[in-house]
Amino acid sequence: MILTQTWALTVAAYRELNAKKLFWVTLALSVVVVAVFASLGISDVGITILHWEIEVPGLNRETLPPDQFYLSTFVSLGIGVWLTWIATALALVSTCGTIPDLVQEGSVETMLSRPISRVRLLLTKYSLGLLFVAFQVLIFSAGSVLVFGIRAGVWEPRIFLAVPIVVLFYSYLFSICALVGLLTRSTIAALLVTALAWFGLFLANTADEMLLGFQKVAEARVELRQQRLHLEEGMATTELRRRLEESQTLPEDWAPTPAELDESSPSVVLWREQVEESQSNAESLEFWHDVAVWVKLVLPKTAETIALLDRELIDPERITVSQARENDRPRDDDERAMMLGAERTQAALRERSLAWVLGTSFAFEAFILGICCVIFARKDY
Amino acid sequence: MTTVDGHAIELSGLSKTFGRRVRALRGVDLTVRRGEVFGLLGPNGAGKSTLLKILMTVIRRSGGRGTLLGRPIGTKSALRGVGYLPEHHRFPSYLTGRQLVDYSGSLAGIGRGERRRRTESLLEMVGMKDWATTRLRQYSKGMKQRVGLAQALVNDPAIVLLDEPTDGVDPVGRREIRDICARLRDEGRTVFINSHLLSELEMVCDRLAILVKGEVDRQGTLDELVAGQIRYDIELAVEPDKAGAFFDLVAPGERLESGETIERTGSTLRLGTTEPDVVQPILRGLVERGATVRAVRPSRPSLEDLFIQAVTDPTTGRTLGPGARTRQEEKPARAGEGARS
Repeated sequence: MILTQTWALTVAAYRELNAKKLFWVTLALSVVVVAVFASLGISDVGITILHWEIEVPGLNRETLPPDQFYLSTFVSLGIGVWLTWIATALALVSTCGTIPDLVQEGSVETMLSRPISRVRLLLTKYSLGLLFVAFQVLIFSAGSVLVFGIRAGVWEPRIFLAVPIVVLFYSYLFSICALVGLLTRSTIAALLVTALAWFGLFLANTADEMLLGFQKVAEARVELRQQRLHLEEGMATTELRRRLEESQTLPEDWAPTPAELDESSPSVVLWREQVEESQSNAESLEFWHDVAVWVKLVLPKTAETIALLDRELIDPERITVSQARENDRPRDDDERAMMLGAERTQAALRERSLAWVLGTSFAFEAFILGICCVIFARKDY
Repeated sequence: MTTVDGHAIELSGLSKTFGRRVRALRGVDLTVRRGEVFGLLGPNGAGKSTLLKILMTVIRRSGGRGTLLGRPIGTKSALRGVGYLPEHHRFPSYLTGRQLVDYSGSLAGIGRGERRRRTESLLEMVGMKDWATTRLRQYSKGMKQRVGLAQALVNDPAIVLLDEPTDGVDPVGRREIRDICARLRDEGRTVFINSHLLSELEMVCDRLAILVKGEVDRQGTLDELVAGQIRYDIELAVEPDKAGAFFDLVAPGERLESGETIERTGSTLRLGTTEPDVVQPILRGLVERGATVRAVRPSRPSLEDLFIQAVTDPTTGRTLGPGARTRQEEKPARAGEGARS
């Protein structure tokens, strides 16, 4: 009986999507995006689009191997732009009516009067919404694997990791959509609130990454300024020792006091002040980043979930090394701090545990779905 | 069809309160026997749909208990042998009639082969075979009611609950739905109809209940409900203004000497009695005074009369307003009940 009912709900969900046409529109657009990938390539002087070659300084087969070029394109454009934003928006428009339609007057009575538990009914409907997204991503990933295989000679099955990762990402938003739909019975309200929540999550993530970036740059600046301070102190000590030894004999272990150093060298004073200033700055940024992290703790990690694919598919060593060859050396400490900070930020983000990225997101989704189940199971319609 | 022992529906003290104020049902006691067509009627907001929704687990009861096909109400297992057509149903418009019935059968857990066979036979029964492949969005209200009825029957139910089944259906369709109800009864199924259309209920129902302000005002067969309310009508073959003169001679005033009521409507004299002995002297008097009697017939109140009686406050003579009873209305209502009894 359970299989018969589940299959019936699946077929009905397909018919609903089919009737909305958006399912096929999204699928057609996915094929177009895959076709665009297929038209791209990398040559010895730049990138190619079909027959045309565009010269790009610093970008060629040597600096970015073809497999990495296609994987980067897949992750940054295919996943980062197409699936994460455009296809997700289309999927939300397609599926946001799933739960409001279920609880509409006249519809809910028919469903609830059948021998199927309310919780199972709700969770099946919810899962079917995710199945729609899984199918879309599966088609897109299969197309991408084919393109990479044919164009770059690389058969990369790890691309299919996009299916669970994008579905997970979508499920966070869809849980919010389900809750709002259940409470308001309105498709428009569900869509709008989910879009707002999505924007809120984007802001939280951006704040986290920016504050982390600023913090890492500030910490790098502290390190560099401390190095410079030590250098200045060394120079000042040598100079002071030389001056004092002109009139007296100093023991081997003689060392000037900080006050003596400050008195003898304005540079030491300047760099000490700069170290203290940057330390204070770094501490302040660390505090605000901690606040952002605590806020994010209870929220789903949309961007970080998608970034898991980047972690898995992109080899940072190969890209970083090749890019470094082309980049100019930093001109001053500030530029060096910026570069170090950026590298450390990326490293810190990549080092975030799966428990942080997925565990807390799952907890959020489970909490929202739990509320949905309690409401749906207890509500009078 | 599932066979069960005992009553199809048995409710005792069933109550439902929405929020803190609105008492939609106030201790409903109701019994529906197996194999009968049972009609539930009542004014708007009397609690009819709420009662059906409680039976179908769409709404949870606040108090009382009851059984549906021998199983406690509010449990999903009780729904296996039940078919339901909601009042304001909104079936998916992208499905065809055949797909809807099949979908409904799947949700009831019926296997594919059996489902297909029943779908075809039910579409034939409700007269929608020719429209089976058309999407519901192209159906008229009456057509939707017909496929709605088919989907309610797809699980071969022992009891079918129909909420306003003839709503939006043309007269021919109404007759067909009545015939289907009668046929279901003949097959041994119980049919529970909730409707405003009193004349239709009168035609098809074996037993009835009138729900007023969340309480069962009366229930039973139509004969039981009108017991003690049979009247005799004497119709004269004269103009109404001349008939009045004859009536003044033999039955002046508003009551007979023995206490029965007298009503005059045109050429008809209605005597509030069920005793032929009371009628005979009046009849004789009219004939002796030269009146030509066209007909003498016993009459009983229609379902509409009973309904109006049920929704009329005997102390004020005013019909009760629509909607459920609120807690604020409880005290005056109870005082009114005392006066009524």
